[in-house]
Amino acid sequence: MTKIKRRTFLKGAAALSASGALLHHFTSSTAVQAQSSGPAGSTLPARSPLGISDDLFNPTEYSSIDGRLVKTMWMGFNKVILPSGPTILRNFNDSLPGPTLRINAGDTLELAFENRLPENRPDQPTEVNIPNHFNTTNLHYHGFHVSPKGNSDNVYLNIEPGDKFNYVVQVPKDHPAGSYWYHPHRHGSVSAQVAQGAAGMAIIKGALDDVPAIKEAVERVLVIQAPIPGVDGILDSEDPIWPLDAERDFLVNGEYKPRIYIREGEVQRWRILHAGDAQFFPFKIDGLEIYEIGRDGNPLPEARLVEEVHLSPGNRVDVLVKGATPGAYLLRRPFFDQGKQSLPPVHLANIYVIPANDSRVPPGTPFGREIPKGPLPDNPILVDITDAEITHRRKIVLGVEDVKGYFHDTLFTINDEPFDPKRDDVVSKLGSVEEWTLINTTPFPHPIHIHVNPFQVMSVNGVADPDKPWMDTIAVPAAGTVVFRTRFLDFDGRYVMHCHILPHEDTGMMINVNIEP
Amino acid sequence: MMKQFNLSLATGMLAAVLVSSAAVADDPQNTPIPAFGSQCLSCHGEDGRPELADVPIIAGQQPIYLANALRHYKSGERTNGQALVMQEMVKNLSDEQIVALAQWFGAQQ
Ligand code: HEC
Ligand SMILES: [Cu+2]
Repeated sequence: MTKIKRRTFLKGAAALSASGALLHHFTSSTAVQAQSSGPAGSTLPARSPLGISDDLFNPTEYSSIDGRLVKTMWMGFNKVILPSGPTILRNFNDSLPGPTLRINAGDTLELAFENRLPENRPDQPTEVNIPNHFNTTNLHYHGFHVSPKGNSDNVYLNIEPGDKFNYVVQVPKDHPAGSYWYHPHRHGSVSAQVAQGAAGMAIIKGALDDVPAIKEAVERVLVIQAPIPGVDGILDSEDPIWPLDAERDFLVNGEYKPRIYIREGEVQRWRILHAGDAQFFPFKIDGLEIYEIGRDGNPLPEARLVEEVHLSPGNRVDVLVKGATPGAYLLRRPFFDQGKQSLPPVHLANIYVIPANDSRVPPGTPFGREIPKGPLPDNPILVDITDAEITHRRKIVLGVEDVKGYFHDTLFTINDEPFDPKRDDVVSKLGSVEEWTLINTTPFPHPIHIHVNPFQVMSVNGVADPDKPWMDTIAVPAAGTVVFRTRFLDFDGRYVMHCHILPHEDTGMMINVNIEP
Repeated sequence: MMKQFNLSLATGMLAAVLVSSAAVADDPQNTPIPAFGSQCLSCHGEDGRPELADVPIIAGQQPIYLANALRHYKSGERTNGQALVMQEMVKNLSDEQIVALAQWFGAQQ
């Protein structure tokens, strides 16, 4: 059976089905199930926030109880039906995407993690910057300001097939509220695992959630992914992921071209995560108003009407979407250039605006109607970094080299060196405040993410950003520059900064940051 | 001033001659870019016509202008924003190499 045939078959079927393809609902009941509670953590099954059976479901959600979220998480093989055909992916908890985690600042995440994948094949590369050991994994809490050591957000761990590991992640009381996420982060297998869909949203409650207009609104979680299966079964090679223009079928919460319902006059709050591995995802909804309220989880100064929303892999955006005249609308990525590569348009979802009194929506369902006016609340500890505070400035140069013997003869570099787990590239002290200038010497953009401490974006290509947004992942434009400022607070230890085009990370674009006590 | 121009032109000629001795044709347009400039093409295009919208077209530009631009990146007179990218590109180039690259791009049609 060739790839082409499978693809033709299922895409054809999806196109024929009037409701779009609700691929995953075949395996889980579409009925609204009751919330179940365990010792410390409750589970809310995947469901439509409007209670409509063919509406996009929010992923299953695990919430903390009394300051703790105690759950078993595992990485294993998950049977799914993609638009290209049935396949098996490496996923968390048998779900694409993984369950959403919802906690409060001050809570403790206690995740009993199990690697349920089989042994790695014996013939693995030994060089660190060649993709390897796709069945070895770990967990990273992207955007969390927590300790990078021990059994917290420690990405240097190798959790081997069959191994178990207890993560205990203590989230500080003053942690910024917002939309974060988790994904595996083992150098060598991170691109393969995330490209297969191993990722989920992680929400820290507060800030924007308490704005009355937002509180009234129905909340959706949208996880954008483009899972890449193996050519014939399980993905065991980086090759299908490697080309930036590799054909990708973009999904939302595991669904291909899902329906998303909004009532006429309704304002919905969407938390959107770009959990894809490589392609950027700028998008628009022709005919509907989109207001950005937060980026990478952090509130913007005020709600802002935008034509197009920009997401690079790793970014999150919080938006308010307003239902206008009843009818069908298209959520789409327009044609665009990612550096020198032209990428095709994507039809991601169909938005249906339905009458305000549609009988399918149960009484008592929240119904927001307002866009908040005036300033949005900010996260109190994310205070502007002044010139006077800066203790050190650094230059970070992003590059690429042709080197024989590496994957596709390619090594990505930072300050002229590919990743070396033993080298400390940046050494600084707890309490230091630094300004970094990122310089991209390649003709492709690189979304750069740093662990543990968020940064404040000062300028892009020399143009100051008046919002000075706090982010954790910023696209450094092709042949361009970014200046950001960051404070090394609360947590000493070693962690990483890297490109979130994950095949770039796996082939060298990562450095170690060592914050001394 | 005039003297300086002549000087740089002379060194430029010299460098260009040195470079083209290894090349197949003496037609400058068909001469491959000197090895130390191979990186330039990834952004400025194989023939000096870039595929990136915010990278300048330098094919056929005046060699003296190009050489001065490269010197200004190297000295830090042109700085900030995308000029920082060019600073990285020229930091290890000698003046002879700068002139040779300016000649080469200037000769592309
Ligand atoms: C990563 C992409 C990139 C690479 C590689 C690159 N350039 Fe550039 N180049 C640029 C950009 C962007 C600018 C505009 C910079 C500015 O704003 O001053 C530029 C500007 C220039 C200019 C000034 C043009 C003018 O009209 O002012 C020259 C000359 C130049 N480059 C030559 C070179 C040479 C020679 C090399 C190789 C040694 C090279 N470039 C490599 C991106 C690149
Ligand atoms: Cu990259």
